[in-house]
Parts: sequence; structure tokens; C-alpha cells
Amino acid sequence: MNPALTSQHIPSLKEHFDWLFSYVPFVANHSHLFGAILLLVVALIVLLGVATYVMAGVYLERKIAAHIQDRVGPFRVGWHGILQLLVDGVKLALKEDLCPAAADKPLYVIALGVVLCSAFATFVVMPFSWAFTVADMDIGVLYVVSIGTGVLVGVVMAGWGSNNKWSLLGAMRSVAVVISYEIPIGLCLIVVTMLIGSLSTQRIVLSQAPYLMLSEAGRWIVNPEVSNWGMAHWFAFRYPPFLLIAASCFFVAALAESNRTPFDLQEAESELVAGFHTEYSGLRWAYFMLAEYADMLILSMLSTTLFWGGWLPLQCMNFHTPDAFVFWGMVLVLIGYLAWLWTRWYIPMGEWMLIFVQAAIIGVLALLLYFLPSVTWFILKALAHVFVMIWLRWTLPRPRIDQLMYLCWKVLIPIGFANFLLVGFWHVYFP
Amino acid sequence: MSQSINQVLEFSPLKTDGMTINMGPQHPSTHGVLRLIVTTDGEFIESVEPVVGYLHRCKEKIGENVTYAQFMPYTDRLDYLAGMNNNWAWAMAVEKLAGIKVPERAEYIRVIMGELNRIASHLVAIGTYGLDLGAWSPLVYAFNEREKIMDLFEKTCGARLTYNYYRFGGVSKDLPDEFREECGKLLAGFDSFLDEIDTLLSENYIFIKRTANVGVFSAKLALDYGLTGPNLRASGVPRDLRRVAPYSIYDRLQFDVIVGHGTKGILGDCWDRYDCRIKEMRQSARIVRQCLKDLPEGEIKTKLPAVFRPPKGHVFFAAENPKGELGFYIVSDGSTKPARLHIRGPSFHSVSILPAVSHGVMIADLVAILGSIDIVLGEVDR
Amino acid sequence: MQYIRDVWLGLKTCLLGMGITIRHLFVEKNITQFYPEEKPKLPTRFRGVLHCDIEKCGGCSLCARACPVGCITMATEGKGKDRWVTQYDIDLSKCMWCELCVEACPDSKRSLVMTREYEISVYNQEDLVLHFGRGPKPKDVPSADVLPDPACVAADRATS
Repeated sequence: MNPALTSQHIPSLKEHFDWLFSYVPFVANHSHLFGAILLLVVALIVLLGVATYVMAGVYLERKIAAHIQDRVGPFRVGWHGILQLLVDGVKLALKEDLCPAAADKPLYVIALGVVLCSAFATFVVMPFSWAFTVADMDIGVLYVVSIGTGVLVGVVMAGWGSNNKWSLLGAMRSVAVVISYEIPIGLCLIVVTMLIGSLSTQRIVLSQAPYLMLSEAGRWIVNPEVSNWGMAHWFAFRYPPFLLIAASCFFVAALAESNRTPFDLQEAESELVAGFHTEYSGLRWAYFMLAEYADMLILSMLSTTLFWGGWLPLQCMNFHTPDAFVFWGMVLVLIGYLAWLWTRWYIPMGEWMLIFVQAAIIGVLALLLYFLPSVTWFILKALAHVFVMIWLRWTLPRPRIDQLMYLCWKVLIPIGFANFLLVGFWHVYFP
Repeated sequence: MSQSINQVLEFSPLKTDGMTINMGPQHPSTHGVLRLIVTTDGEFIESVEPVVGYLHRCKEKIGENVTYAQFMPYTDRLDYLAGMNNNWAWAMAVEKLAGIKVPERAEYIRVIMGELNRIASHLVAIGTYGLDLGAWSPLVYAFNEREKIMDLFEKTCGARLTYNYYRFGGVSKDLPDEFREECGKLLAGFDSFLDEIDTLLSENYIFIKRTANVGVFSAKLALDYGLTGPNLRASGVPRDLRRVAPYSIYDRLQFDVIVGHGTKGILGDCWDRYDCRIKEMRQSARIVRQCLKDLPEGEIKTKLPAVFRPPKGHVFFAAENPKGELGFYIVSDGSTKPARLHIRGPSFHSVSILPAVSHGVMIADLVAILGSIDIVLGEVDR
Repeated sequence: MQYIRDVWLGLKTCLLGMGITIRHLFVEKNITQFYPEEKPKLPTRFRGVLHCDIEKCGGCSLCARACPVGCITMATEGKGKDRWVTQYDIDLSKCMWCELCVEACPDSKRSLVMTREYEISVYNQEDLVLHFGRGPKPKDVPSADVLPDPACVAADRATS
């Protein structure tokens, strides 16, 4: 039976470790100690992974922004600017560690710590793969939302402690926005948890794969009795179109939560110079950027878990499921789009070759998708979210603070509630 | 949705102190070195006081110490985004003073250059306006188009920003051979570029929400403060010097005077001013096409005596610059240098309207208003 | 209802804008010029650093008088055709790049031109002053009937 829909136990990471340790008697006797150490190591790996992601994320952002604007972005440091972030990190570390004389020094310093800790603490419940969740708590999703709000406390401390009117203004705006947008996030969360009956992230992902079941050895195998509909089981595609709307609302609210354009009034460069982190320079500013990108990733990962199938693969070679048709259909659409671009713009042969090469690379990588392990699927999906966030940043202007509030309270929340009610009715009366 | 400050104060039982914020002179969205002393109550503004003078370069005093021809490069640096138009206004003022005639070909070339520079100036205006409101990409697209115009100018007179191209009685150099072809290419791609800008900015819902019904200048207010150019026309007053008091060959050219209609909100809001500039660019492109078609052969400059002494007297002449009406008031005492020179910079008057319209708006709206009146500090401070 | 129309418009215009940026993202029209490996191709009329061909210069000082900022300093010796330009300095730190001096140079001479040179960063401000002058005028060579005979000079030297 699929344990996601019952209350049956899902093996946690610690239990996987115990199974691993059982082969080494010495370790098995002290499994608590070694289990704890290994868990710590795993958590550190996740942390380092996030730090690496931030470097890659900032690099990608600069490159994507540049190409959107017909430029090239970083180019000189390393091949096509790959080492740019490393060099930037070194430069920031070597800068003078300023603190404004009139600033509240303890607050100024601790704010950073609060922001970073809250941001990184949420990664422990993210289900990276079928075995790899650092700590699969029963309240997983709730944990993410509540600890993630700790970032806000840090932001307010930073704004106040900087002793700068602009920072304070930015921090106040940030508080207003983030608190308001917690509600649509919560509402979209509730829709999903209502359908499953659990807040645990691993359970949420597994309920999007009813064709999987737990064997006696504690491994996941495909249950041949249950029909495998692949992608159609993902929550974004169930109860259409309501859950898709919920996914979009979640995405919009996630943009606001992580202070990304179009909701980046808190650091609106053209108005407030840099908002709450105006007075932070050097490595401290780098930490704030780290926290912002980590925030983006947290919300992307949450969205992936809730709506887009978590670590479940896109079964693009399995033509018994709709996955393959959808996937290859999208590839065909992309090819058609490029062909249309060519006819419309009469792109010269050189540039057309470049586009063709890009499309070929994407196609080849697409074939490799069949062989990817589930961790990579999870990360790819989260990165796809991040890509859309970056894309939106360089496209849209930013609304005013009261228009942002209007969007939250008068658009997203009614939609969230309506979704909740309608999906609830559908689920109960037409199972 | 924005409430006025009075409504906010009515509901709050607490008495709060206003916060005085200094916007500038170094600030990403004051277009140059403008300092605004803003007193706010939370997010709502009580008063704005512009402090100008950070770019004052004593142009009018310099004008008394150099000859008329030597002052031409200084006019480039007034509204440095529209150098050709400034040159043109100065040339026409002195031609009016001394009664100099300009040959036909020179007139056509002057119009082509002036209108191309109008397009370039408006491109900067809308690009930076998008940037102020958070849209990063349209800026680069607009500047890319502007590069093409500046390349044309570079081929003609050798400079990209401070042209010093116009002379009394014509222009200094003839158009190069490849000008017609390159200008044609530029104009051919211009409409599709404007369509892109329309999709990215003008019709974008967020942009409309930020600019419509914000910073409404009624026609009376605009006229009271001496606003000219697109700022005035967006409030519904159809005053375009090229139509009302045509100079050069504008009486022969077909173009529409763009007047705001309150399409997305109240007449005279920021969106109207922005839209006026977009539509004016299309009209300028239309004018350039006509001129290129009808360009006659001939001389490009009337010969003037080596030592140029205009007759005694005084003259005021205003031309329709991209930012408004640039006016020169010259008092001549018959010598080679002006006795007194006054420059009426349109941006100066545009800045003066800020205190009148910013009571009760939010800071974000102030940025939107400032961007929409399109000032250049070179003109404000001279 | 207005409300639903607003929401729909908001979504639609955002998606349309995204379509434009994604088009720019994939169609590579790079406008960055990789300076200093790629130098810009400058047109012939480009107003770069001034250069004076002092051989052609007649020392009339029209350029110095035409300059609005007075960056040309000239000193000459002699008059008319024999005028010798001892000092011709152009101070680039004052130059406005307006080309009025080049226009003032008479057609018969055309000694002053603006080149296509624009990379003029220096470490000392004195290096920004260009010196074209010829220095003091060389004295005239005496005529043959007053010069000593070289053979006699050699003979005197040998015997003394």
C-alpha cells in the first residue's frame, strides 16, 4: 500500500543509516553517536550545497540578465566569467568592515546571524530524494513557513540597527509585505495538506506517486497494480484548474516573500538605494545576498514539493504515461518557435547555427533526463523555478507598496480561499 | 487606491513626527545632481523642496566673455542629451538678431539632425523612466537604438554627445554619403522597437498602475508653472512651437502635434506624459523620412564675415526642444561678444512644479513623477 | 466585472512582456564590444586628439583666437612668409573637442587636424600638453665669402 495516503511509517534518513551501519558491527553498537555525526555531516553537505548554489545562482542571474539585455555579462574571469563569483567573494572579504558610528552595534551584527540561521535552518526538511531528507518531521511544511519567517526578524533588526532612515523605510516595507504574503502561501499550502492529511514533506511528494510502494526491505518499488499516470499525479495537474491556480498564487507569493522583483521595494535601488542593507558592505552584504538567494531556493523547493512532484522524475521515455507526450510535445513546440523566429527575423546563418546548437544541446540533455537520479530531478525543478524568478526580475516594473498590498489582500487571498473551498468540495463530493 | 495624507491623519489617534529625508544629490533616480528635501509622514509626503545648483557652470557669464561662434559648444552642454537642438536654438537666435538667411539644404539637414536628436533624447527619457520604476531591460533596448543614432551623428560631425554642428547660416559639414542608407535602416527597424517598448512598458499592467492617475498636472497648473513641451501637451494644451510659431521649414512638413487624452486615467498624469514622448518619437521618425525624401542639393552654409558683429539690439528666440521650449535672450551691443545672455531652460520650470504636486503622494509616486517630467540638470542649473 | 478584468489584464500583460525578454534571451544579438581587444571603428570625421603639422603652419594664430577655452598657446618669430613658430602648445586638459580651431585654420594651410586618437590617459597632467613648436629659430648660415677656407684652417691646426 502506498504509505503516503495512510499513516504507515516512511523510513527516515536515520533508519537508512542504521541499515547501512548494520554491516559494520563496531558502528552498529554505537549507532546513536555515529548516526548523529553522519546526520551532522549530511546537514553540512546541504549547507555547502546551498552556498555553492548561491554562487552559481548569482552567476546565472547575471548571465541571464545580460543575455536578456543583449549583452554578455561576466566574461573575462575564467571561461565566460565562471570564476567571477569567486573573485567577487574574495573582493568582498577584503573590504573594510564598516559599522556606522551611530548604529546599534549588537543589533547590526546579530541581524545577519538571525537572517542566515533562519534561512539555512529550513533546508533540513526538504525532500531531496526518496531517502535523503535530513529530518523528515511530521510538521515539515509548517516548520518551513514558520522558521522562514525568522528572516523577517533579522531584516527588521538590520533596518533599525543601521540608524539610517532609508534602511528603516526598507525594513518597514519588508515587514508589511512579507507578513501579508505569508497568508496566500499558507492558503495554498492548506489546499495541498488538506488533500493528503499530513504536513510531512516526504509524504506530500510520495502522495504524488501512488504507483510507488514500500517493499519489505524498506525500498521503494513500482506497484504494477496501480495505474501509472506519471506527471498527471502531480498536484499542479490534479483537480484542474484549481490546483494550477494555487501553484501560480504560491509562486507569486513566493516572489514577494523573497523580495524579488516585481516585489523588491525593500531594496528598490531607484528609490531607497539598497533598502535595509544599505549600510552593510563587504562580506556582510554578501551574506544578505546569500540569504536572499537561499530564500528563493527554499520557496522554489517548497513549491516543487507541494505542486510539481518533488523528486519524482519526468518519465519522458515511458509512453504509457502522459509525461512523454507532454515532454516531447514541448520540445516540438520549442523547435517550432525557433523556426518561426527564423522566418520572422531572417536571422543570419551564423546566429541561426548558434540557436540550432543550443536547441541540440537541450535536446541531448533531454534524452539524458531518463537516466537522472531523483536528487537531480528535485534540484532541476527548483532551479526551473529560480530561472522563472530571474526571468521575471528583468521583465517587469515594480508596483507600489499599496498596490502590492492590494494584490495580496484583494486578489491572492480571495483566490486562495476560493480555491480552498472549491477543491474541498470537489474532493469530498466527487472523489 | 492611494489615500491622501489628510485621510490618513484623520484615522490615526497618535501624533507622529515627520521624517525629513534627503533624496540626492547622489541618488539613482534623480536624473542628475538634484537634491530633494522630502518631509514625510511614514510613506506619505508632506512637502518636497528641490535644491538646485549642483551643476551650475556659469554659462550665462561665460556667454559674455566669448564670441557668438565660440558659445556654440557651450550650448551643447546645456541639455546634453539633445545637443543638436540646443545648437539649433542658439543658431536661430543669433540668425534672428543679425538677419542671416539659411540655405534650403541646410534647413533640411538641420531638421533631420534635430528630429533624430529628439528621438535620442526621448529614448533616454523612457529608458530611464522604466529603470526608475524597476524595469531593467527596456533601458538597454532603448539605449541600443540610441547608439545607432549616435553612430549617425558620429559619422556626420565626429562627436557622439557634444556636437557643435550648427553654424550661423547653416551647418558645419555636409551629410556623409552613407547617411541616407543608414538612416533608412534605422527608421525601418524603429517601429518594431517601439512595439516592443509598448508591450514591455506602455501596456504593462504594473507600469500603468504606477503611472496612471499619478502626478496629475491640470492644464492650468502646467501653464502657471511655465511647463512646456511634452509635459504641457500631456495636460491637453496643444502648444507645439513647431506648429504655433513655425521656424525653419516646419510649416512644410507633415506631422501631428501629440496631445494627451487621459487614455489610461486622468488627463495630465504620468502615463500621458510618457505616452506623449513615445508618440512624438513616431512623429519625429515621420519627419525625418519626409526630409530625407525631399532633401535638395545646394550649399550648407551662408558665408559670413570673418569677424562677426551682429547689430545692436536684443532678441528672444525659443525653439521646441525635446524637453520643452529652450529660449535664448541675447542683448547685443554691436561687438563680437554678447553683452548679456539669458537661457530659458525648460527643465528649470519643470522642476519648479514638484512642490505643488507632491503633497500627499507616496515616495514611490514621487519617483514616478520625477521621471515623467524628464529633467536634465544641465538645463536646470546651466 | 472590473476586478476580474484587472486580474486578467495584469496576468496577460506580464506574460506578453515575458515573451519579449525570452526572445531576447535566446536570440543572441550581443551588443557588447570587447574593448580593448576590439577597438571601435571610427569614422573619418571623428574628433579625436589634435595634431598640427608644424611644417605647414603659418603661425597666424587664428586657431588660438577661435578656441573658446584658450587651450592653444602660440609664440612666433618673424613676419609674413618667414614666420617661425617657436611655441605651439595645445593643452588637452582644457580642450573641449569642438573643432572650432580646425575650422579656423585657413584653407591654404590646413595644418591643424583632429585625429582618431582618443586614448590619452596619462599619469601627469603636464603630459597632456602637446608641444608642436619648433623651438628657437636657427641662425642664418653665413655666405661663403666671409667663411674661412677649410684648407687654411686645417693647415693652421697642423702647424700649431
